[in-house]
Amino acid sequence: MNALDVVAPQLALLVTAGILLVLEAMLPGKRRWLPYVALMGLAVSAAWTTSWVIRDDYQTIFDGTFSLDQYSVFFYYVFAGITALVVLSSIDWVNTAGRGKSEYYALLLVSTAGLMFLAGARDLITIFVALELSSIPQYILAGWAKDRRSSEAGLKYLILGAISSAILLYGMTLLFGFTGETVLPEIGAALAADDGANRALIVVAMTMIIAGFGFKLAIVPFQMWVPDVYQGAPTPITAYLSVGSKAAAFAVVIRVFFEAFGADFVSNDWANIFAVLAAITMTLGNVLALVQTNIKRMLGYSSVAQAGTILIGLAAVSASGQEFTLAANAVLFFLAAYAFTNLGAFAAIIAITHRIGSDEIADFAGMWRRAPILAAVLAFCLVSLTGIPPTAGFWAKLYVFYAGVQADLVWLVVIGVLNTTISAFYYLGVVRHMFLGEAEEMSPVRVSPGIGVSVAVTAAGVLIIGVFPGPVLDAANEAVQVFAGG
Amino acid sequence: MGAEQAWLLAAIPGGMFFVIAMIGRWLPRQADWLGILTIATTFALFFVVLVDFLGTGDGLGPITNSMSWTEIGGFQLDMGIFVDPITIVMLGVITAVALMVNIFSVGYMKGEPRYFWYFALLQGFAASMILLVMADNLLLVYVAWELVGVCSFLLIGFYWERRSAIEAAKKAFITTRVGDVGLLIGIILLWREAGTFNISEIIAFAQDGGYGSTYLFVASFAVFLGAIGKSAQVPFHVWLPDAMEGPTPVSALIHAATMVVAGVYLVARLLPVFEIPEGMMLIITIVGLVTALMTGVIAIAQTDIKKVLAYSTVGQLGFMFIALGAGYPDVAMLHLMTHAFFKALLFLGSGSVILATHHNQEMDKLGGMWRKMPITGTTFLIGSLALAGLPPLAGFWSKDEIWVVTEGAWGAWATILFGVAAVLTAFYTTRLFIRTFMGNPQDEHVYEHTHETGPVMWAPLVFLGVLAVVSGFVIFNEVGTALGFPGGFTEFIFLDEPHVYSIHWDFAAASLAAAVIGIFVGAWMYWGGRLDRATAFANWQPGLFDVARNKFYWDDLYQAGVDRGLLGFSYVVSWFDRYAVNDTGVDGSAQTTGYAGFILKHIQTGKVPNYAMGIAIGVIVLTIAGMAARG
Repeated sequence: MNALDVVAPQLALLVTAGILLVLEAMLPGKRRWLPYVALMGLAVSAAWTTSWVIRDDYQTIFDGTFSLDQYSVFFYYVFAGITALVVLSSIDWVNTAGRGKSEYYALLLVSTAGLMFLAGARDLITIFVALELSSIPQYILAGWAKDRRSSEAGLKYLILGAISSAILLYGMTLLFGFTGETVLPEIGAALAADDGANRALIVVAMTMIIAGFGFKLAIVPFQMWVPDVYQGAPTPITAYLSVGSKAAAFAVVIRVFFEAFGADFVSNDWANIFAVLAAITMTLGNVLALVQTNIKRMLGYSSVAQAGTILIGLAAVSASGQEFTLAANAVLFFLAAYAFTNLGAFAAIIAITHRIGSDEIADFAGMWRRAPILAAVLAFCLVSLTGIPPTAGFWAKLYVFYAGVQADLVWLVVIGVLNTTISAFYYLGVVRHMFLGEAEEMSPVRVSPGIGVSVAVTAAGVLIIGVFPGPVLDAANEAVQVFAGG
Repeated sequence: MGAEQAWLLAAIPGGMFFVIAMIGRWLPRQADWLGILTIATTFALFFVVLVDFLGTGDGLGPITNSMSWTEIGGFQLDMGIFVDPITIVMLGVITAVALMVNIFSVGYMKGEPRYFWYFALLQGFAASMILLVMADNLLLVYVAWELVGVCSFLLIGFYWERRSAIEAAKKAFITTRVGDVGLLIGIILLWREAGTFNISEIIAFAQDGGYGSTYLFVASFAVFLGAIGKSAQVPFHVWLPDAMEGPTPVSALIHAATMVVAGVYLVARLLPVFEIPEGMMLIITIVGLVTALMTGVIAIAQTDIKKVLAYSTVGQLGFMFIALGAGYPDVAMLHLMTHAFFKALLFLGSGSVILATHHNQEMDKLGGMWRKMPITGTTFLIGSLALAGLPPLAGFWSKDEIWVVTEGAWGAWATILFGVAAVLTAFYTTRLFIRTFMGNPQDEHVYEHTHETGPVMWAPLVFLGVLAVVSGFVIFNEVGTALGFPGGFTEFIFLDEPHVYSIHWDFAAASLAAAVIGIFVGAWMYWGGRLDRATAFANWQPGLFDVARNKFYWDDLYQAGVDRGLLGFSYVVSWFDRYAVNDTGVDGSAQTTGYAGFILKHIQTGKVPNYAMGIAIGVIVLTIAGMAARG
């Protein structure tokens, strides 16, 4: 019974998914209530999470394979928030897509439950199952729209995802074969006892695991799927992929490193590899984003570049050894700030593209006159993505760069800053189009309530975190303290 | 609620700024009532804070309440409030005058375009100003300092259809900005050594000898530049007269009673720091004296009512700096308070005249207004006499006290110069009153159409008129004690060295004499609206008159400096920027980056096998790298 209580936040989502399916079958006339039922499920999940925070009774269950701690709770909130905003932003699109509505929301909730399991998983098998639980609905959702691009996106995502899963699984198998354990801390203990004779094997295992998650993180060279899938998938799903699965992958990578490999083990040498990956990822993402004409594709490359920025934090985590909490804190803060910012940008883009029927940046010209609030929010979120105050993105970049400097990775931070300059060009290019361009058509863009709420919440979030970063930073700090003890 | 929650005083109008700015347009009466309600609430909360503060008992030490804003590594920024007697006085002045100005504006701004935006800005200004006087660290002071600057800029340029208004707003912004750069440098210098922005900690650090003496001189001088920029002292005074382009109630609130005294407030707050380096107090005194004398002369030659009042304000701010230079923040704060009340009264009174005469503010076309506007005229007379320094009105007590402390600190030369400035003040005030309100109307057409303004405008005048009469009495210990304070005003402010007020009869007599001489000469020259004696004087000394009328040529000097010096230098810089930086550096690297994008685009083939190949290569390369590093 206790175990069920611990995983109740996930169960709430899975049960809601089931209810959605049944509801549509039983009450076909009440379809418009479905998204609100999904939101209810998310609210219950978040409320249950809060109850655990209040009970302050963090524990591991299922023989140590799943952990409910401040770290997973931090991500529970992030994922519940992300999905709620995605649901709100989806309402219009799903209404016009014309396929089974309940399935769409149900798959979204199931995927979110998978992400939440990932945040708390501390066992190789649990991690893998959770990863698949979150991925499979994403494959389906990426191909949800009835056009060729979407189908292509879904299929590409599926095939490449399967390859990555295979690589990940192969790395896990090696690790299991070597240590005879699947639970992360026990793997860590076995590795610590190792005399060094099998280092080569462990390196291969680590590489494979990094490659497997690298697919979800969208780091070079595992990023190739990103632009195609981001462009083809329905825009709300693109938004979901860009923040949800990326955050979950970072969450699990940090946990695996701390609990299985140990901060000491990954220090220095891996730090340099991460640093080089970060530099390449940022630069490639930004340079390619420069030449895009499609806003979704541009944001796809932008998300690659942002993953590179987060990798600076990860490199700093490895490089700082026992002093990692500052860098880990920065990574978590970045993920939360990025989630808000990117969702805000996507919410505005969904509202605009849904109306004008085009994702081309050129068609955003003069949007300032047609949809002043949407254009302002989109501009604000793009400013935040660039990292200019007073936005959440400013602090996120500042903390990550600061962690890099503290970890003696000054050269990497310099590259990061130069990349920020490049990114300003294409982010602010969109702003220039919207505010200085001439619209061919002047009809105002109307906003539906769902998107309106989504846009308002994200814009407020970006601004509030931008002015008062303290509370989120404290929460992130509390979350990473979980690893400080061990 | 207690004094710890004093931040609400800033938060409430701050929130209402956004509400009125966003939805005010659609509310009944464009939300002017909401603005008044907001400020009235703030004014009421001020008394809650005051009572709580007086009730704390333990020596009226400062009440602080701060929270962590952000921290990066070991560097922590706090955000907090600090309530002490100086803050209390500032809060009282700001909320009282802001309330009167909000009410007066309902009449004055009636029918103007962007009415709601005007009221939104008033709330935004009140919030920023209150934040400025409550902030417990210099960084927050700087934020609020710039916020009041922005509100001032927007309000001076409120009638942006008028070119002169835009020019004035720009001039105010840029001039104060020059000082603000000094302020920022000063704050950074103070922080660099002390490691904190907290004002109390910086003062303690300075008093413990933490700063080197030259270092502290440079730092405090830089802060002082910011202060005199905001408070319009020579040589930064040029923006304030032009700022009269804004709506007149704004001049009363921002450019007489509150924002312009921010510099006085800042120096008063940091006075223990300013006292340490050699010569700093003398600089403050000299700036104050020069400003007071020069603006006193300029005011005599102005014919625009608001310009006279503007120069008068600059001069009175000079008096406050003189008090600070003598080392008496209590006296400066007393004059700040009394001046706020009578100068706001004079500005609102001039606004009343301007509205009644359909935007006529030239003395040459006024005259005899007292008969048409009895309430405005009477309250204006009270304000003028207070400004001239006639006992027992408020201005007398504070000005007299400044004279006393100046003599104590600097001796005869400063005392005499101060006396001259006091006579000049009384003289131009008399001229202003007589030429506007007495004698025969200069322009019959204007006079015909004039009538007293409505109660929404004269009620604030009466309220401020009462304060202009009585607010000076708080200097007496008996009055302070009766009101619940631990003594008279100066004792309340200056707790460290209790200073029981007693009248210095010699200075009181001199002060009275200065006022009477100024008033008498003014009356002799202009009585009955005659101008022949003044013209004769101007003809007798044409050079002197020209200097005064041309404001000592400050504007021409600056214009020449900008035209000859700055623009020439800018030309060189712009050439370098265009060709070396932009064409080669920026465009060059941008083209390289863009070209890289076009090349790299081709790795994105869209084919799944290629992507899978990428993953495979990635795994292999990573493994080799990992082996090399760890294996």
